[in-house]
Amino acid sequence: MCSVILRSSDGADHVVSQEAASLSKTVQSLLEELEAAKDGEESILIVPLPNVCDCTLRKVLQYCIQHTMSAQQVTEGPTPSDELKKREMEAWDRDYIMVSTDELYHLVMAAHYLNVPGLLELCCEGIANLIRGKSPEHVRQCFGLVKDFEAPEEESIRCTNLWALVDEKEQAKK
Amino acid sequence: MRLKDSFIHPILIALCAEEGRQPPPSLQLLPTELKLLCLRNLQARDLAALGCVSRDLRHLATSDILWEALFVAEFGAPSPSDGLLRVTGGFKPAFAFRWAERARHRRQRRRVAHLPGMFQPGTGPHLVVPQHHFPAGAIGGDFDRLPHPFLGFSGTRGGSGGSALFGGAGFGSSGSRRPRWTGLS
Repeated sequence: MCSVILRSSDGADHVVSQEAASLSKTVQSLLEELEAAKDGEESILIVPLPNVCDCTLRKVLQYCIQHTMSAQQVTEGPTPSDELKKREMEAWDRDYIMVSTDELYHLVMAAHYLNVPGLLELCCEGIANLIRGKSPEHVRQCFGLVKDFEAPEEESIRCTNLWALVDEKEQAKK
Repeated sequence: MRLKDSFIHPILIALCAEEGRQPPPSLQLLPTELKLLCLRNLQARDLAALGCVSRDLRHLATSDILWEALFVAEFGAPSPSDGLLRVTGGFKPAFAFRWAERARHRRQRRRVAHLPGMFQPGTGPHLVVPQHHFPAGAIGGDFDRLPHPFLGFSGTRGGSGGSALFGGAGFGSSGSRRPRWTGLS
């Protein structure tokens, strides 16, 4: 299997299989361009990724490698434990996305730039998990947001969303 | 990691705000399309709460793209004929309207369930009403909709003219109804 080198913004090189790198649509199209330009020369392709820093790229590649491996295992032949493997993969994803907020931010930006659909989805789910079940005040604290409403405006917004907030209180009582 | 998120990150944000510096890269700096992608994973209640956070988020969290999906998932595709969207002016208000309507129904049902036997026709001997007491044309009207005529009966005692509720034809006046009920029990 062919290997490629991905170079992060701080110049660090990561050697990965072409298959894993191709999970990123951006890298895939860059590779195709490089392949067309290289004229049969036998050398390892180097893909510069100036928008992704080293530690984020490492994290992204961790995802790519893990998912290529599991995809290979599946294509080797359907086994009764397919369902089990899928569940294992979901568990791995859940663990993988347990990162701090700013790491998640970098990861989602990288996933967007590199165009890795599965990872992007996973990151968005992770961010949604951060927001889920929090009160507006709590969300502000977590993401460092300021309340920029005027008092009457806030009251009217609160009123229009009362159906959701009241229900929450009812649930809390239960 | 949790400690970092719940403790250090807010402090860092507060410090940056105090010093007038740019806050650390966080989720509000994501491009709009990525934010929308994230919010797509949220349920209606979280989205509504998010709408109360700040102007920027309110603008995002009331977007029809998100609420249309939620509306369809919760209540099915809206029929263009009922004019709900036209009246409420968007998917979010329409969702809120339907939600409140459903909550009201549930409350009503729960109230009925809390009084076992009271409002369920035919569960107690005192509630067995001979069929001929109902007006012939009552099926499909209020008799079907309301749990039991007993509800209406208590209403008429207040003298609020509630006898019109049941068409009145089979029942006669509200004054003559009471002895008939007591006789049955």
